[in-house]
Amino acid sequence: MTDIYIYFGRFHPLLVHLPIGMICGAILLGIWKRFKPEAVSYQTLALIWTTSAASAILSALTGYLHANGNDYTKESLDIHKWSGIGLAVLSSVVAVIYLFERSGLWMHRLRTTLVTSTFGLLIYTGHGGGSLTHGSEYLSISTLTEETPETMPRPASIESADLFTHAVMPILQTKCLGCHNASKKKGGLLLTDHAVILRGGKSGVGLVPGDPSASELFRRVSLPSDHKEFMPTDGKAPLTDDQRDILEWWIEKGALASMPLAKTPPDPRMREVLTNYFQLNRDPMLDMKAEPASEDDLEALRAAGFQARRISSSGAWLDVTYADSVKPDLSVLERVHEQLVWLQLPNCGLTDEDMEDIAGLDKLFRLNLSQNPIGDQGIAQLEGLKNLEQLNIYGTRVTNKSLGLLAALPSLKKLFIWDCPIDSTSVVAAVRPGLEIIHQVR
Amino acid sequence: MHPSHVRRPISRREMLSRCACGFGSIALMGMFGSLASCSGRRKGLEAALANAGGGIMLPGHIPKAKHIIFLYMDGGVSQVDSFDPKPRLALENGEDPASKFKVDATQFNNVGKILQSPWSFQRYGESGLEVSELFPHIGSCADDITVIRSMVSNFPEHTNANYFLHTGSGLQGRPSMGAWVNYGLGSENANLPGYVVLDGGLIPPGGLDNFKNGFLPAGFQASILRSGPVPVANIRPIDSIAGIQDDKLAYLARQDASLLQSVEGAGDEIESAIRNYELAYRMQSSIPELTEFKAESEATKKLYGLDSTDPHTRNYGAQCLMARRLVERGVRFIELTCPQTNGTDRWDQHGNLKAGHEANAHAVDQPIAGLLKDLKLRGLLEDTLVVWTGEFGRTPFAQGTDGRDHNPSAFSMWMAGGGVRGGMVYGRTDEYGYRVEENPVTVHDLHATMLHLLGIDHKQLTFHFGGRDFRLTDVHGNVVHDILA
Repeated sequence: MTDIYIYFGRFHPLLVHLPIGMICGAILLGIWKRFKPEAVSYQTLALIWTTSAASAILSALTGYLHANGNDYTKESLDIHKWSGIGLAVLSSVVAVIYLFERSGLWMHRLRTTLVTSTFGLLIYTGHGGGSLTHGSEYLSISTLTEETPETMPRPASIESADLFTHAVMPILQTKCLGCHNASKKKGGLLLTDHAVILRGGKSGVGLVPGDPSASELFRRVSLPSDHKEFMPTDGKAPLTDDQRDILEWWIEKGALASMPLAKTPPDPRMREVLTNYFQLNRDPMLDMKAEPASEDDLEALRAAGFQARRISSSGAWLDVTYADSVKPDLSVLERVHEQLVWLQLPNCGLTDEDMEDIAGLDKLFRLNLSQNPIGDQGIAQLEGLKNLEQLNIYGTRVTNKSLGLLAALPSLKKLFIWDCPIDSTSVVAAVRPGLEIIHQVR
Repeated sequence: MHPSHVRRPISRREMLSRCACGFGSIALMGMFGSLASCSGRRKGLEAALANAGGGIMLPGHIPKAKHIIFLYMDGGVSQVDSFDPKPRLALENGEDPASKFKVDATQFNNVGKILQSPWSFQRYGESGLEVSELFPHIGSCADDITVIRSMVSNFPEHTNANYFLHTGSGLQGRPSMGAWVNYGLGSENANLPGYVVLDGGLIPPGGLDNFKNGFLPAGFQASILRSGPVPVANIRPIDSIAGIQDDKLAYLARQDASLLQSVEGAGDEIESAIRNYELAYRMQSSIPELTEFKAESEATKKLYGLDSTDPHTRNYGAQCLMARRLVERGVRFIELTCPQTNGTDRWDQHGNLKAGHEANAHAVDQPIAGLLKDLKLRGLLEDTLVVWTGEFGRTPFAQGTDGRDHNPSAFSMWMAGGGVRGGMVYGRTDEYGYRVEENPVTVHDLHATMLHLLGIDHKQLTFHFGGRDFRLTDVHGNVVHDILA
């Protein structure tokens, strides 16, 4: 096979769209002629069918060249090859009939039958070609009903994830399986499950567990993108750096079919890569839905001396600040409790009793109560703030007693307790993974 | 003799000469009208008011910062002596730079030999970030700061570089970044301006135009607070009888309101003036409260170096403490200019590098570290972005024998808090610290990143002026995502 054949063969995916369009056009013109015989002449139909036939023949020829240069499964390739040749022949016959311009009932019936079969064959051939290129799953009803990889449940933490199932397979699915599946199998390589991934394709063994550089799969995806052997080929989206790193690490660690990350703990850098890949650092606020606060409610807030600001144009999230030193009327906050995510009430004389009004604001992610004379009784009422990620109570009267309760707030990540009657030993005891307590100058 | 009671028809010549002034006025009115509309001022003001506090936020993006403290290192700090260690300079100290790399034209064309850093570097914190011995206190905050070693500027000269850094354009007259930020987000405190420059003693080359509103409504320009007992002129009311000042202001407001009605179409300056009067009145109570440090503990004052024997440290420490107090009061953008240390011209050490950089570093090091630590303790570093930068860097070779010339091709800066990572170095320069080799960050990129952290899409924050939309980042700017937490 010389390059010139490959070159012309590659025109096939371009040329095939000509007969598809032209035959459809010819059929439409034919139907129109039924209703308005004088609007379309036989010469017109003859001309368009002749060019359709010519383009179909050209497509079949280039297709023949294209078939030899690629690794398609023989069965589906044969079906497409013969239906393509059939289409070229059939459309030529129709063109000849139109060229002879015979009238009569028999002639009419023959034409109708042939045109209808041409249309049927066109659909069939087109479908076969599409399945060869993109795989038979590319366009199907299941796209509508089944979950796409993006909406597949992500693992909740690094520890609960399996490297192969949650990371390696999804990467192969999005970047490789388009060409290395049961119906396409380019280069003789299948990547549909663990066993076949290891087996590899024509170029040899797919993977050498423990040695990424000797593994063909990894070598191909990590070549420079203009290299002849680079994968994925033909300008398809390459693997991202993170995806490549995950693949490399998986092979390094033995390329097993089941690798719970709890048993194979990643180093800090891999942990970061995986955290990004699993979107574990995605801000939960982004998943919070609420209707925007009404203008009346915002006006009521402003009238009570609060400043309310929408945090993002797309969301309803509100950032509310009280900047005065006179004690505010907190009851008005209830009106926006669905939207209120950040609340700043520093140094405005709030006491334990006022915490009742805060207790119900369960959408809060950040709360600043610093420099208020609040004690343990008030803090005890904040127990229900399950979304709270940041709590600032520096300069309050909160003592050691509250630390246990605060550390138990499920989402709490940062706690500011400087300048409170709290000692360092209790702080050390209260710290849990994921919670940072800021209490003294380092 | 013509009897005066007999009216004779007016001649053509008379008519023209009598009405000339009137025609002129009509023409002038027309011209003013069209000026106002083609400059887009009116439209811009409305847009500004409609915009303030929303509308240009990135969808699906949660802003991290609400305030920016911009620590401006006027004159250009030497990167190879501060945050970008280059051991090779010591190996090749005294050799001819032209034999090593291509030397660009410099400001003073007095290229000396390769000059090693007079200061050693030390690793700090868990991250092991390298900081020179000029900044031991800032070094102790290493895990909270992200150093960008690959900054580049477009201008090798102070005035243009200052305008570029402050306004995104090397020419005079564009709005300053602080004005843009307030235009985009609005102020959080009605009693204080949203953009404050704390004048430590040095107004950078280019003057107050670094802090102006440009074509944005005049209310967005910086208010400058001086250090010392009277930060703003006339901040203490001079009327001794209660109520007199209120009456005066009410009278002014009435006058302004009627003037505003009579000049339909060109009212931005007047509206801004009215607002300025109102704000100035409120500042008479808010500023004294702000600038008195009575409520601050001795420990806090010490943290900022207010007990230092160096008057410049005390001066800059007071500015830093003031910056924290302004953040607490909701001011969006605060810039600190440098103190005037003895015998130095800012950080601009064309000669006498060692003494000059040491004097400047001593003035700012402890106050800045104090600011970072204090912000962190109070939870304010979560939503306050601290930016430390000069307008460009300095050459790794000497100017003369003991100075360094301007170098816009590479300089170091750092950011802390407000949604940037800590303990990280971004970008890389060559082995001499002369040019950027990896991940260059332009001034536009810096602006885009600062706006991004505030939740503003730098491409959406526009103002219509002179027939087109303007942005802080012009047609440039990429957010440096790698440094975001």
